[in-house]
Amino acid sequence: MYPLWKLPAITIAPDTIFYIGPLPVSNTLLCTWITIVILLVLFYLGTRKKAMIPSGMQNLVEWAIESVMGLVESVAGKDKGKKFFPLVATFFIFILFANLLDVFPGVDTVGTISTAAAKSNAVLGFLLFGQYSNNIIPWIRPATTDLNLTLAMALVSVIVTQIFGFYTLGWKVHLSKYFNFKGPIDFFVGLLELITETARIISFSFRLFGNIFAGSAVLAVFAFLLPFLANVVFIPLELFVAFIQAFIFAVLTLVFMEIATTGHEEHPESEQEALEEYRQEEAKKEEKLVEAGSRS
Amino acid sequence: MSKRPPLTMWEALGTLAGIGFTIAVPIALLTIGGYYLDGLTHTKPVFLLLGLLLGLISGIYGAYRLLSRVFQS
Repeated sequence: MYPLWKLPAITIAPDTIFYIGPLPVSNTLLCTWITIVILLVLFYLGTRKKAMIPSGMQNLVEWAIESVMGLVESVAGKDKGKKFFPLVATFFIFILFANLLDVFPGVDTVGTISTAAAKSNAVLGFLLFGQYSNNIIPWIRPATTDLNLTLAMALVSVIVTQIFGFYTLGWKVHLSKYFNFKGPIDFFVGLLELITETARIISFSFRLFGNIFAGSAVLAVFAFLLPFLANVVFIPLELFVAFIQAFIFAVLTLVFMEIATTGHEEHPESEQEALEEYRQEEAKKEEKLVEAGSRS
Repeated sequence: MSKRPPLTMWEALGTLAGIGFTIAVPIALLTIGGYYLDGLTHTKPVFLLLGLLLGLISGIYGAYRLLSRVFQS
């Protein structure tokens, strides 16, 4: 006697679903393309007709961009913020949309089954019962559940951070962070910097991959274990995780860029002074705005 | 040098939420590296312990670097 259904098999490696010439297209790559198309359409609609007083989609896109811009400038300041913004915003928006696809019905659960017996018939995963029900190869799987993508993004993040470091501080000062022969302690600190810098590639990629992969596995498994009911709890949780993980990736990239473009010689005292100065300037600006407002 | 603005709630949230892996990954990487090195050189557990120690120091140092802005504020 066959079981009603079996729990879906969780595989870490993405499955190849078709080939374009010699290029294998995996279900995660397909999801990456879907994310790119969604973003292209969204931003095309948002910037198609630029009105002075934005409404609808333009309003949404402007709000999103201004929010990220505000965050970047609050971390890195106005000058550096403008340089960091394109990469940080791209990371945030792309990862957010790639993660959000996780909660769509059919993602991870609709596909074909892999056994030779069933290959002749295309089968929808969610209609699958019996002994083959755990052999689904999903057609769409969230892009960030593929370690290749998260590793690639982590490499981009770390390499660009280094490039900004070299560009802003000069190669001598930047290299002296890692290879410092002034004394044994400086040398050891340089070694630690080198280790943490390298470990960041792994921590960036595994943090995003682990969180989203675990989330998608939970959603897929609970869709079978406790259909309809469990996902009332897990889908909002996954929406939260999707946002938080995109946010963490973007903010950490930003903070590391800020650290990499700040020299060794900055002392906490001078930073405190700069902080005070900044606050005073902000207060002056606000006063001016209030004055201008009261005049008009 | 551009002036450093004050820490915002969002930056603190992003930094603190990501701190776990920043500490864990160097520890895991160096400990596993030490374990494999021990296997190659038959010096068990010298490199394992050295890796663990260096990993712990790197993890804490990485976290300190990341959190230095939070500490200052």
